[in-house]
Amino acid sequence: MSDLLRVRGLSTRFFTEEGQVNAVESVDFTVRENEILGIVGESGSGKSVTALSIIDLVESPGRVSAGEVWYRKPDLADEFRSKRPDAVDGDFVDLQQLPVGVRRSLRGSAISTVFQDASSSFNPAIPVGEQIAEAVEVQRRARANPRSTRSRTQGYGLAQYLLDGLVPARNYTDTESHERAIELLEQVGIPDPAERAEEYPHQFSGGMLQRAMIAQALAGEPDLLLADEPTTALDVTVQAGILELLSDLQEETGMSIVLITHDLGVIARTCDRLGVMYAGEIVERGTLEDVFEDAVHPYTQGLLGSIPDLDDPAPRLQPIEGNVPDLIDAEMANRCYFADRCPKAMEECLEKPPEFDVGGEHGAKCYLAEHGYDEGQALPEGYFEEQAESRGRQGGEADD
Amino acid sequence: MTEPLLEVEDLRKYYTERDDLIDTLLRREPVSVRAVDGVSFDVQRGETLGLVGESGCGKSTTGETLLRLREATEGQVRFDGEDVFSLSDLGEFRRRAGIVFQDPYSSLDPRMTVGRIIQEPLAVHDLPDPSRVADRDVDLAVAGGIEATVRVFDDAAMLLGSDDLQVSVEYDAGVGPAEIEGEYDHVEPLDGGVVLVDLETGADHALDIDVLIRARQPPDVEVEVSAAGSRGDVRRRRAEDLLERVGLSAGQVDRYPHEFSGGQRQRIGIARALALEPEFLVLDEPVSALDVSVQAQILNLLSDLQEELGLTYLFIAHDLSVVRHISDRVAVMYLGEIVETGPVDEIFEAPRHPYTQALLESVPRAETAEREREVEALAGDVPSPRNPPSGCRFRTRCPEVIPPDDVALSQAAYREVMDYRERLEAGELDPSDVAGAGSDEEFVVTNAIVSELVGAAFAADATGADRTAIQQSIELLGEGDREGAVEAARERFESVCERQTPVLQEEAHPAACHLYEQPEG
Repeated sequence: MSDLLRVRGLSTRFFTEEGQVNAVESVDFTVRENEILGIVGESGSGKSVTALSIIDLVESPGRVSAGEVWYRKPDLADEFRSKRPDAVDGDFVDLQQLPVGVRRSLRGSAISTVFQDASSSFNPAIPVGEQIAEAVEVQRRARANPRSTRSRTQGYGLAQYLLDGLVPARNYTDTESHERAIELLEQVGIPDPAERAEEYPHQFSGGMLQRAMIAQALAGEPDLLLADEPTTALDVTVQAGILELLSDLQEETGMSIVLITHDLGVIARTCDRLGVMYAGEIVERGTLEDVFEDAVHPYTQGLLGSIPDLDDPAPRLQPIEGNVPDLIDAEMANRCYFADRCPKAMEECLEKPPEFDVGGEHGAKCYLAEHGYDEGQALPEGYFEEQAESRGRQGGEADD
Repeated sequence: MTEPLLEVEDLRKYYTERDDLIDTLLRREPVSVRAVDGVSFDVQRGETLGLVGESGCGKSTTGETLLRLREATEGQVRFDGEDVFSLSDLGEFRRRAGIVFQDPYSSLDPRMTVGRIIQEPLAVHDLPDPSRVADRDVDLAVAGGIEATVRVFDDAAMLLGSDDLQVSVEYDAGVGPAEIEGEYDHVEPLDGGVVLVDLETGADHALDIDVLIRARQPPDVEVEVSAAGSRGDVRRRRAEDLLERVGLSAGQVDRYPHEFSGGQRQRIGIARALALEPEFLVLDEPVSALDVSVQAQILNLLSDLQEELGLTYLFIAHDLSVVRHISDRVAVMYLGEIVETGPVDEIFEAPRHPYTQALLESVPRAETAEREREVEALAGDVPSPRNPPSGCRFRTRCPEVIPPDDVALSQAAYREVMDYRERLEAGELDPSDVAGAGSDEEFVVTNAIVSELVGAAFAADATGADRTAIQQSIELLGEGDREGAVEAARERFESVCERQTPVLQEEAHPAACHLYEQPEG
C-alpha cells in the first residue's frame, strides 16, 4: 500500500499568557491509502491539535511552528513542480508550503473532518439537509472553478447581509445538491433521508446527528477523513453503530481515516495501526498487535493497565501515578516527558530519547526499547519533586 | 441477610412540561416526562450497588431523588429503616448520606479555597457542636458516694472534628473529692470540683466514664466534652486530614480549585463528601470526566476508602467496565426502569435481559481480538420518555421480540413488521406512500406495490396468514383507511411484549423480560 500523507517533524505552539505551550512536539507519522490509523492519547496529549495542524485549522494564539505535511496529490505536484520545487517531492506536495488559497481548496475535497460534538457543529437554525447540501454545493462550485473557494460560509460580511435582506429567497444550494445530500444521508444509514433532510438539528438524536456530520464530511468525496473523537459523546450502543459505519465507509470508498480517540477499545475495534501520544509526542507506534501485546513504552503499558477489563476484572487497577504535564515550554526540560511518572525512570531519561526501532513497524521513544531496565541507573526516589521544588525556589527568588 | 441500609420502593420522578399559566389559559394538556418510572432496589450495608444505563435513562435522577435533592413524584425511600421522604429535619440524614458529583469543574466553587470547600459541610451543619456529644447520668444509690456516669457518644470525634478529646466533669465544690474509675491516659482532679479527662479515642463506640463523687447529697454535675482549639482551627485541621486521606497534601488547603487538575479536583469532591463521616455515598459518574490513567487512581481511592471507613456506595455510571470493577451488585436501567439486577459476575457473565446483552456486546474491548468480534449494533434510538412504548419499553429496539405463537416469521422479518406497525401507528406512513405517484388505476398500482413491499421491504419468508395480514394492512392504508390498516396488522402481529409490562421476579438475579417466566397477574 502506498502512502497518502506523511507528516514530518510537525510542531504546534500556543502562545498564551502563561507562556509558550508546546502542544505538538515534532510529530512524525504516515497515513497509507485505504487504512484506518488510530491516534490515542489522554486529554492534553496533543492529538486533536495534530489533526487541526494537518488541515491548517489551528486558531490563534496557536501556530504550526515547524514541520512538513506531505500529501499525495499528483495534479498539484505537477502544477507546483516548477513554481515551488521545495514544496514538491514526487507525487507529494507539502501542504505547509502551498499558498493559503490552495490549502483551503483541499479542505473538504481532499481532507475532511468529523468532530466530537455534532450538536455544536451544526447551525441550529438551518435544516440538516440544507447544511449538507451546502457542503456539496461548495465542492461542486470549487470543482467547476478550482480557484474559487468562496462559499456562503465565508461571506457573512455586511454586503452579504444586505444582499440576503434584499433577495430573501436567494438560495445558495440547488435541487441537485439537495438530492446529493439525501443520498449522503442514506449512505450513512439515516432512515427516511428525504424527510430527515428537512428537519433541524435539534430533531436529531446524538447518534443520528453524528451520522449527518459524517455525511457532510463525505460531501467532497475526500481521500482522507480526520475523525476527532467521533463517538466520545455517544452511548456505547450508538457508538457501536458509528464505528461500524466508519469501517464500512472506509471499505466502500477506499478513503483513509485517521481516528483520534482516548479509548483504546475504539482503536482495537477499528484500526490496523496506531500511534500513542503523550505530552505532544508520539511515544509509541506500531500495529495493533505490536502496541497491545508487546508495548515497550511504560506509558503505553500504564495506559493498558489502567483500563478495567470488562471480561476479566482484576481486583486492583494499576494506575499511572501523577498527572499530565502542562506543556509550558519554560517548564519542559529536554528530557523524556514521561520520566517523572515513569516507574522505570533512569538517569539517561534526563536526555530526550530518540525513537528506537523495535522491529517491523514498531517504534518507541524510550531507552527501554534499546536495552532493558538497569536498576543501577535508576533515578533516586523523589528526584523530580526535588527538581520542581528547587525550580520553585529559583522562581520565587526571581520574583523578588 | 441483615436489614439493608437503603431501600428504594417504586420511586418515580416525573417532570411536567407545558403546565404554566399560559398553557392553562390555552388549554394545552401538560406533558409529563417520566425520568424515573417505578424503580425499586436495596443497598446492603458495606456493599457497592452499580446503577448503569445510557444517557437519559434516569440513573442520575434516581440518585438525586433518593437523597431528596429533588422532590420525588411518588415512592418510598427508607434509610436505615427511616422513611426519608417524611423526615421533617433532614440534618441527620444529610450527615449520614452524601454525594460526589460527576463534573469536578462545575461542582467546586472557584472562589473558595479548597479548605473552605471541604469545611463547608461542617459549617452548614454547625459542627463541631460540643453540646451534642455527651450525656450524663447521676446515680444516687451508691453507698459512700454518688456515682455519675458520663456517656461520650460514638460520633464525638466527628462532631468535634478531632481525635483528641477532653472531658470535663464539673460539680458543686465542697461536696467532696471525686474519683475516676477506669484507665485513662490522663486524669486530673482539680480543686473546685472539676475533673478533666483526656481521651484519645478512635471513637467507634460510645464510651462511658464513671465518676465517683464522695458526697452526701446529690451534686449538680455538668459535663463538657471539648477538643483543643477554636472551631475554626478544628475545622481546618479536619480539612487537612481529609486532604491527606484522599491522597493530596495538607499544605494545599489554601489553594484554589483552578490550581488542581481534574483528577485532583475529584479527590477534593470526595474529601468534601467525607467531611461529615457519612455511611452512604451516591457516586454520580465520579470518574467519567477523567482520563483513564487518573480514573484508575480514583477508583482505587474509592475502594480503599470503602474498606477503611466501611462505606456503602451507590455507584452511578455509564461505563460498564468501571461498573464491573467496583460493584458488588448491579442494576441496569433503561428508559426510567430497572430491567435487570443481580450480582456483578452474573450480570456480566450471564446477562439475561436482551438490553443488558446488547449493552455488554457494544463495549469495545481493548484487545487485539476485538476486530474479529461480531457485534450486533442495536437498531434505532431510545424512545422519548414523554411517550414511552407500552408494555416492555425496550421492545422497539429489542432483537428478541416475542411473536404470537401462530406467527411463523423469522426474528428479522418480525422486526420489520413491528417497525412498519410502529411507523403506521405514529402516523409516519400515509396512503401516498403506498398508492404511488398519481396513477389512474389506483388499485392495480397498489397491488403491485403491495407485492413489491411485501417481497422486498419485508423479508421473503412471510407466507400464508402472515403475508395476507401484511398485504391487507397495506391495502387498507392505500385506500386511506389508516385505522383499519393499524387494526389489521395488530390483530395478527401483536406481541406479548407490547401488551404486558414485564416485571422483575422475586429472585437474586431477576430480569424484566417476557423471555423469562413472569409472575401471574
